Amino acid sequence: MLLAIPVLMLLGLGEDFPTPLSLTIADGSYFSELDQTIAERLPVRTRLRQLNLWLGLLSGQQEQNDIFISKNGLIKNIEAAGPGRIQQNVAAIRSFADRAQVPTYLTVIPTSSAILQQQLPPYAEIYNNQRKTIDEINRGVSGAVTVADVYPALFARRDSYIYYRTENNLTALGGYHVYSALAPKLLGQEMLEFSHFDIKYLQTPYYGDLYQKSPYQGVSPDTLSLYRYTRYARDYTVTHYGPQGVKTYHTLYPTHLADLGEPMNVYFGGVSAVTKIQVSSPYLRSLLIFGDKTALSYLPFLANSYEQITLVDLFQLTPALAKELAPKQYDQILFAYSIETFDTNIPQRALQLLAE
Amino acid sequence: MQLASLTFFYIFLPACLGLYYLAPRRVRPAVLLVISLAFYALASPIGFFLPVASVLMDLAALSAMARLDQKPRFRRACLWFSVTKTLVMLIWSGATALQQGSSLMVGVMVIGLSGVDCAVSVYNREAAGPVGPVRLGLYCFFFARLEQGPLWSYPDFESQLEERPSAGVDSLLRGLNLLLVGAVKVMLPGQYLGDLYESLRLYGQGEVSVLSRWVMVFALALSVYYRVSGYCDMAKGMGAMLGYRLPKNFYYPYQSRSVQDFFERFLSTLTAFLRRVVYKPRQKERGNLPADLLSLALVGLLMGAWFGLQTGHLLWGAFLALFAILERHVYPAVLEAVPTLFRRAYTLVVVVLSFALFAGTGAAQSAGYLGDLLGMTGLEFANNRILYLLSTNWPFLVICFFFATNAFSLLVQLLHRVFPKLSLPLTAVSDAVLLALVTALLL
Repeated sequence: MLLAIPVLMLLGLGEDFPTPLSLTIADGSYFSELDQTIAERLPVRTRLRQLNLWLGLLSGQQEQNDIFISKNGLIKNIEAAGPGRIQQNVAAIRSFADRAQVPTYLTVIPTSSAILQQQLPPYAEIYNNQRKTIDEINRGVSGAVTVADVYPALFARRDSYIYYRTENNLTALGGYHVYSALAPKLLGQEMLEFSHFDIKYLQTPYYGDLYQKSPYQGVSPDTLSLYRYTRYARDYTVTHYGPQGVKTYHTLYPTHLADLGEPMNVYFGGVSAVTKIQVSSPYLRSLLIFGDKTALSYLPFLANSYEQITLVDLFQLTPALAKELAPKQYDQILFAYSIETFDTNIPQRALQLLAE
Repeated sequence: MQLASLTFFYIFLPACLGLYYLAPRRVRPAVLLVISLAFYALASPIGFFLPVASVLMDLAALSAMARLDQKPRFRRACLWFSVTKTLVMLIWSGATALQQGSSLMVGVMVIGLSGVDCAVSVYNREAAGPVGPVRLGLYCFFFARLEQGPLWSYPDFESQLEERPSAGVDSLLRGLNLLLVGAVKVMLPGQYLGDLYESLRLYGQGEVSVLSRWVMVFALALSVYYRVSGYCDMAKGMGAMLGYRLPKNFYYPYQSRSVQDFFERFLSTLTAFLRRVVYKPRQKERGNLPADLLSLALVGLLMGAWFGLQTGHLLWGAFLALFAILERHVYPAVLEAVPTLFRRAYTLVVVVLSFALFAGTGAAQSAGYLGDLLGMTGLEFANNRILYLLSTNWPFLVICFFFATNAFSLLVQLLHRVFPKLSLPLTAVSDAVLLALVTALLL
């Protein structure tokens, strides 16, 4: 009867069965891929992964799959950047700023493994000294770009719910503190007070990407909070441009997307290749942001101080969409990346094209 | 493809069992040979041809021995050809692995030594019949034991083959049970203790202490035991599922009463092989001290070489051989007089110390680790870091040590004796539980 399991699984694999090639068999990658395919089709795989986690914790392993596990939350241990990568990204941003001739700003956002160190196990080995890396980046762009250092603002509020417990990202509250550090640089003294927002909580508990990798049952699910600016009326039009076409929402928070199985997309519909947010505000300025998913946290606050914000994900940007962008027509340009994103190679070719 | 992988458990093994039992009984050895060669080609595609060539050369030597049966000098030359060729292959593989910083090629040790065992058996006229390509190929390449053995005497294999082996439901379930237990041993204590050892080995200058070194070496000793014995259990289990009875390779070595006893309990089929090939020819020289010393040293060195030609591994074997020599020729009476508990404690300490040498990549590092253990390098005894690590890991270390003794096994045997009728259903239930555990560990 135990043999029935593999037979049933093979019948279910069908077209998903990876194609064996001599090269992939020789280097062993074919069997890794096959293992992965089988793992994804195992019945009760979430339960089995929970069992795996539990066995690891029983043997004293408080870090598994590069994720620190505790009842307080799951914290991803970010890899250190490869040699030269930081310098390459810094050089690309400097070059872009020089050519764009538009006031350019940079903020590099630390992750929870840097800010929430009090939640890590004692003597935990952290791969990336984020404070040091962010200082190196800030020094590198100095002179060409205005730096907004959000590290102190986040560190001062590390006991608050500023990072999700099950997702590798800032919460909306964390996003407000990032905004509070950005605003003096971008907006002067025009920062919006916290009391000008009311908070709505989504009822459905949220389990994020870290939980998908390490489904530790002891951690509480996250709550998605939606901050609505109430002091003055604002109308929002959010337009997404991507390979799937164009989508438009007339709200910053399309909450119906949570019911469609995309909870994080309740924040202005998620991050597409190009996302344009038009706001009926008294401000006539525009902002171009080159960012990543951390924008989900602070953009709803920042949007209320601009007429238009365009968020560009360079990793998804196609040449056709890049042609439509005109960076020089914006009043300000902001590079806002998580340190984890900055430690990868930001698509420099795309930046070069945009600067031309 | 690896033995401990989802592909192996959910695709290869069921396919293997299906093909084997669907084939007519008389062709099953050939079917199993083809399956074994396919497994080896998938597991070691780049290194596949060298062992195949080695076995073909063994086949040629054995054919020559059979043809020229009445010419003892020529038969001896064929035997030495097989032994020399194997030694060259093993040394070359070991040196290549050392140069590349990788481990020894899968199966090369088992295949090489099996070829020598067959040649020695034929030379000593212990083989019952002619050695053909299927017989020799299956003996050398039987996929179940390629990873870490066990070594299997050729006459024993031959006599089982003559019986046309097959497994009933009982053997299938018990074999599956042993296979899964072995897999859990490799992936749970074997892997986790290995990770613990690695993290302790990477401690920086301000972090290492005498206690951290002891824990490091203890974790290594247990990790090596669980990994190697786990693979051997998997081999024995798979053999049982196919109707073969493979020998046991580990007899709870960490409860040995002396280092000589440790040699009989740790990789015991390797010791038996060496006894057949190295000791037996020297039986005439018993009482010859230099020969005895040389034999013990050779056993120790070859045991170290089983894990690769790294200096640390060879020093490990040499260290144990030294204590075996001391036990036999310097203080045998003292050892006999000491109560068993203290003998076991003494042996455990010597074995754990030997793993300090095993851990080093070179002589200097091995000596450094040994010096750290003995407190001779000026390290503090303990610090907060190791105390914290022990506070979270000590239950797991204790449990792993407990299961490395025969206490649990005795309990299981008692249950089988007291409840014989429940034995098979309980085995089936534990198979299902173990399969879930193995699958969880592989995710």
